[in-house]
Amino acid sequence: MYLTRFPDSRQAAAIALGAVVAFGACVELDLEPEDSYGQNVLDNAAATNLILNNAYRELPLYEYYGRDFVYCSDITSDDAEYIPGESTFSARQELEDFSWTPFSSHNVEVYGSAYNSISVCNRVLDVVSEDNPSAVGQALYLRALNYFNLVRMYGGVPLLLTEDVPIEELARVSRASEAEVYAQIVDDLARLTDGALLPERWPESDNGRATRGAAHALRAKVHLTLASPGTDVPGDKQGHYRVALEQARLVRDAGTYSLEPDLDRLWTPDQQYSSSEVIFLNGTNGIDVFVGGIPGRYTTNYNPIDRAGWEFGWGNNVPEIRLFESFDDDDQRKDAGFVTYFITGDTLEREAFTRVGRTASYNATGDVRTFFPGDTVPYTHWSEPRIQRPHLGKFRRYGSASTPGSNVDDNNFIIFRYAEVLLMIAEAANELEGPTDEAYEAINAIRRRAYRGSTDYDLETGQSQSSFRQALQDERWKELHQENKRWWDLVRWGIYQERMAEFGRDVPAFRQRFPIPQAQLDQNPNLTQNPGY
Amino acid sequence: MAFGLATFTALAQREVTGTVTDNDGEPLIGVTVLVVGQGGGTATDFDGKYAVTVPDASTVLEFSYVSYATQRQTVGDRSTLDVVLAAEESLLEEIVVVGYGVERKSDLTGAVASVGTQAIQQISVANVAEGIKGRIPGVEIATTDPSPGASPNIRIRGHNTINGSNQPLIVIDGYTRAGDLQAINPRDIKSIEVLKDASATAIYGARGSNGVILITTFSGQSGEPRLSVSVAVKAREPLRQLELLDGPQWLALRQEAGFGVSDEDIANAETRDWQDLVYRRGFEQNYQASYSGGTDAVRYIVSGNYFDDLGVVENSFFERWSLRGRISTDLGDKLTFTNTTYVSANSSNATPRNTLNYLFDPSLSTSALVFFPQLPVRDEIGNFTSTETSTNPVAIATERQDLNQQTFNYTYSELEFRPLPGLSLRSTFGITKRTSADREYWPQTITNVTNEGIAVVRDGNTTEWSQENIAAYAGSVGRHNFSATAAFSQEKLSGESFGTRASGFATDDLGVFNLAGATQSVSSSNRFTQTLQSLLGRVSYNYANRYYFTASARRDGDSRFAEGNKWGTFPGAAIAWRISEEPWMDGVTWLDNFKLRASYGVTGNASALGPYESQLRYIVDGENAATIFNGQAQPSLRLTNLANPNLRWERSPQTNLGLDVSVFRDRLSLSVDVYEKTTEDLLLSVRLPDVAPVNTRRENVGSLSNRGLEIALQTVNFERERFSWTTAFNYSFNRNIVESLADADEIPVGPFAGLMDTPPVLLRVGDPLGSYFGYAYEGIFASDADAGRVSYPLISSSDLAGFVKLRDVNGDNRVTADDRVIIGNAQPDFSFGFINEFRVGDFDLNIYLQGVIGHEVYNLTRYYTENTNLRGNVLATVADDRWTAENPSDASLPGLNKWLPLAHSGNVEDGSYVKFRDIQLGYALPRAFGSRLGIDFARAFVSVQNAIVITDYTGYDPEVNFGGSSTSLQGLDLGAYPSNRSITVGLNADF
Repeated sequence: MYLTRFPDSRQAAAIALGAVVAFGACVELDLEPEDSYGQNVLDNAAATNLILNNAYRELPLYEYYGRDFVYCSDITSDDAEYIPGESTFSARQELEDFSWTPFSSHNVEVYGSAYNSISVCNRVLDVVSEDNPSAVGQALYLRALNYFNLVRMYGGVPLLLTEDVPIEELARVSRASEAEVYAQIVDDLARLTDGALLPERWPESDNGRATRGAAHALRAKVHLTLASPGTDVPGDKQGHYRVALEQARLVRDAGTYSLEPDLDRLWTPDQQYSSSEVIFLNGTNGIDVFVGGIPGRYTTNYNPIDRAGWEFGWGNNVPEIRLFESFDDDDQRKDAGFVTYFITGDTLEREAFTRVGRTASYNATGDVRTFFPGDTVPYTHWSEPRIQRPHLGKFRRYGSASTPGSNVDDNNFIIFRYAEVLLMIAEAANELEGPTDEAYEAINAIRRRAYRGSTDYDLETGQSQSSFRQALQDERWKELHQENKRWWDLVRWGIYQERMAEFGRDVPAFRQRFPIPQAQLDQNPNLTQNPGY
Repeated sequence: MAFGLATFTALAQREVTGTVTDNDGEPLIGVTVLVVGQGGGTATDFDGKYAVTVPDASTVLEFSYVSYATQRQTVGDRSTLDVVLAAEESLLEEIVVVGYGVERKSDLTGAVASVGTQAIQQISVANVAEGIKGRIPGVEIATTDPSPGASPNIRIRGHNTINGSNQPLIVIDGYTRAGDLQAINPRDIKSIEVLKDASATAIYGARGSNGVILITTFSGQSGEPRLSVSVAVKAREPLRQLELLDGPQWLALRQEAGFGVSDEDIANAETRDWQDLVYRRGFEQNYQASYSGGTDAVRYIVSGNYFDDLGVVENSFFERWSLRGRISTDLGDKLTFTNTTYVSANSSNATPRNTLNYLFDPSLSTSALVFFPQLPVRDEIGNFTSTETSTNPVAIATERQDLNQQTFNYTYSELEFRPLPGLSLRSTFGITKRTSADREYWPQTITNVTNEGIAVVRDGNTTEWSQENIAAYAGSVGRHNFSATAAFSQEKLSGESFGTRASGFATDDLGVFNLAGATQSVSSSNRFTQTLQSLLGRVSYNYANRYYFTASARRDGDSRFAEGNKWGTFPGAAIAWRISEEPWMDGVTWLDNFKLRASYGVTGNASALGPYESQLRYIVDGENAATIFNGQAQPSLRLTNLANPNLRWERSPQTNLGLDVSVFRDRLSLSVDVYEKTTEDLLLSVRLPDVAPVNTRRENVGSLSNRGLEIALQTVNFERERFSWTTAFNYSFNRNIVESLADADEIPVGPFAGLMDTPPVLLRVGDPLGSYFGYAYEGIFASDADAGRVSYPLISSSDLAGFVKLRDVNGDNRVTADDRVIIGNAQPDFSFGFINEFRVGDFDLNIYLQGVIGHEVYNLTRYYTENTNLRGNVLATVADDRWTAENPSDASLPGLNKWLPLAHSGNVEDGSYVKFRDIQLGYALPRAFGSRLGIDFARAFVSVQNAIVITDYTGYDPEVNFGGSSTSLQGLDLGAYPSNRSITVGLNADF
């Protein structure tokens, strides 16, 4: 039947070969990742430093200083308004209307972002010891900053100080009291500033990491907040003012920091890391996520919704008109802080060649016209009511990596700058002893910089404690508007409702805290909601 | 002696004549009569007669005729040799392939559907999945992406998992790592079997829950070598183009909307339909040749294919070269060695799709609709024109490149040892290697995307090997028939990939081959290994072909799970009763088969799981995740995954009841199946409390269910010598319900931030997958007074006229987010296929309809193209259907500048369709004529795909999905690649 018959020995060989294949090596079912690390990576000190970087990485993200956290203090205060454009973003509208809920995304996201950063700090603090002091220092600093943000926003929150907690337990953790959270922050910062855990300066390539100055500034801010009348934490208010003053003085007297004479430099992204005024910032590099980077989005967040397409923006955080009007024309802060015209081309050479002669199809005057780089059109000429407003200038005019029409820029968000330290000195000194020379000197330093060195605009001497207080509060508004300061200031001073009433806004008292996110309450039966929500 | 022999030979050379008839004595025309081993031959004439010269008495003649059993006769001393050819075994005697074995069709106990050689050979599309669409009830094949080289989604009995893959397992010639259906030429396929119920698929255990498609390819047959050639060329055109405003209309509307357009502008406006500029006539070529043959001990086939598809979008193409070869050698009568090797290389250029990248979405199809019609392609100084809301479609089509080159190769060997009658021991080994290289470049000329060039380069490869040892035994004792199969199987997959994204190039001249010139770049690298080990077995028993019982079990161990949960057991069992075989049915001669089937089984799925998801992992952050100090990125190590040793397989228990009937000698056959299956322990991402170190963790929570009915009916309506007509009809429906979810009863799905106020899809417990969510559209406010007492979002109650009116569902006199409801669903009520085949003499005509009825499509393209705020060009209907003060009451679209970014049911459309998938007319060369030319078989055909599409859907095609193969995003039309109508001319010939 078969044409060919092989000898049996070949058959046997073939069967033997088959059997070898059949019962040869078994695959291994226990496999370790080949492109990622396991738990034991924590044993490696260099790896710990890389893990710590993640605590910084949270800061510039959308969900935190990149957008949401800033909106929660700017749109909700007398700094800015949300003006809906083509689309209405309900979370922004709710901030504008004082109707935010435990579901509103901006106030919800900050909670998670802060805890993400805290979680990294705790992981580092769990494994590093004093032989890596700067890791301990940075972790303590960032943990304190995050808890400070949380406690100001939400009141008492779960106080987690280690990573060694099972997931199931995390879903049952209760809120600590506001006093307990502050006590932990105060302890961490005391441990940090009294030791030598952080350097005065980092090597240039590490600019942006927490420094001793940043720790003193934060400690001053925490104690100033604790001292403020609106903060309902029992304690020695005068004592807190004294610590605040002392810590702020340490920053001033170290001589490391000074005011930038020219605000343009302060708001130029690539100058910010080396600026003498910047104490702590979050880091962006303006590289589009498409390529990989942490882009700032401030330009687009704050820029007008521009129908000509040159200055793509969301117009989300539009300065209150009263704020704009409170500046006189000699104040360089007016020019640096506000956009009063549109740049229809891009002044940056890099952009120019691709943009020349681009036809924008419409403008306010009804012509189709061709714009050329550098053309400017006053904002009042634009057709849409919602953009006939000055917009924020701080983040928009010097973003070197900003591409018109892109969602990205390289603006960093400055969390602490020296101007605020001076204002803290003025505030703490005035609260302790009335307007002292030191207080005048501090506030006038701010005003002289604003008026390019002129002393003509110094605060008049002979102020009472309360008139100085008023001047200081106004100066903070003008100097630090839309830098994520105002809501906290109004709340800690206890004047939030009163101030918003001046703007015709009736804000109930419970809105001096944001609600705990509903998703967190749903997952954890032991969490309680803030009153009113 | 030599002389004597020669004389004898000369004497022996003589003519043999005869008549070839069928069982009924009817002459058969065109039967091939072959002189075996000599190469000569002839064919029977119109009276079934033949005459052939044979060399000697030992000559063997072979009589072959399609659908009749080939017969060989030794001539002997006969000069007249009449032959009766028996029709091939009835449908019931067909052998079908099942997991790890074959069975007679009559013995099947599970829900198994087959597509036979004849139907497959008539497929006039290059992707076999396209070709069998609508032919098998319960198998939904949806071409959500009609671009060249794309594979359709195949869903067998609905969606079984949310985060994992719902594609069925594809097994080609017993090899589970032979790729998807795109990698096989229909001309190479002999049969397709689809295993649908769990008793049939449980033998594939943890990969069986989505059903299994078994492909059997042609093997060489011993005998004369056969050359088989097929050629098909196809011309395509877009099925439909949308009617948009022309230049003057567009500018007039813009003027009316207050955009500042002068009358002169309108008068001078040009018109460009950008669809015309970027869509074209597509052209496809498909050439295949195979050569097969063998001796009794060695059989071979080798088959080569070249396929080239130029799509209907400018610059889109897919091109593939492939070669498939198989050799099978008997080593004595107890051993057979078989090797199959497939090598292929393809390249393609992909068209950019919607990315929802806010306004500057560089999707070609969307841009072709919304780009301003009055603009020229290039401006006065030669740059591409662009607008603030859209990218110049010609720039995208002609300047941007996304070249992908892939190779896909495997070799699969099997040694079979048959030591005893009925016992087969097989050992198999296969290796599959894939490589992929992506070269994507966005030039500086596409200014809305980049003005410095972006290059994306990705290279990856995977190696898969599989080794199986299978023992099978079949035997009978009296009327007891039994068989048993056991196997041990191991698989290993590993892969690695490297990617770089770079931007900031001085010029575009070098495209991606200028990475050193980039000012910014980020790289990534990945590697994984994954292993699977399985033990499986099956026993089947039947008594007198009347009572059937089958049981199987598979135990799978997977490296992805932690110790203690690696192994899962997946059992299946089925019983069947062939009532027609009962003695007391003997008198019912018209009934060929009457069988009842019942089965139950459990299958698994873990495709949602990454290779190391049960382990704690830190990754180095690269792309878009670095930490920035001093303006420069520093790497960071991020905890990305918490260990979860409790993860286990998703499990899908399924019950199936079936009925098979055939009557009047198979003139009518009917199969009906009903099933119910529930997938439990879905591997979903569970959101952890914010205080946890990571945001989500994979857990086994949630369940889904599918219930459905499938009917397949085949009739031979008319059958005569010169004329026959057969009909196949199938009908199926599936009801899908989300039974439970992870931590919420509702999960909005869709990356739609910034586009609309709410994601368009909602996963909700108690509703099916693919439910659309939004406001209920009630028309347009004719006047400000129309509102009644109800207040509306985003609009002031004093200025309502011309805005969209939405239903106040909860009756609280305010339309708020709480009034959003389910406004449609992507799951059809039912679907059907209806295929009629006519044969008239040498002509055949095949009319193949397929329909999907009762589902909705969320036409998000209209969200752009009916935007009366006029950010981009709009549909021509906007001119007439929008609200105006003059025409307040007949409007269906909002007035100018009154469009709101709200998801509402006004954009949800009935997606029901009936398509004439294929109308094919063929002509087969008469054998008698062909044999004179040395042609055994030749058939020429012309066929039209999508000749008629019946639908009320207003977009390009209701068979669409922006979400691709996503389970949760279904039925969304957003910037879809246009589907097409095509005409194919082809020729198949065997020599």
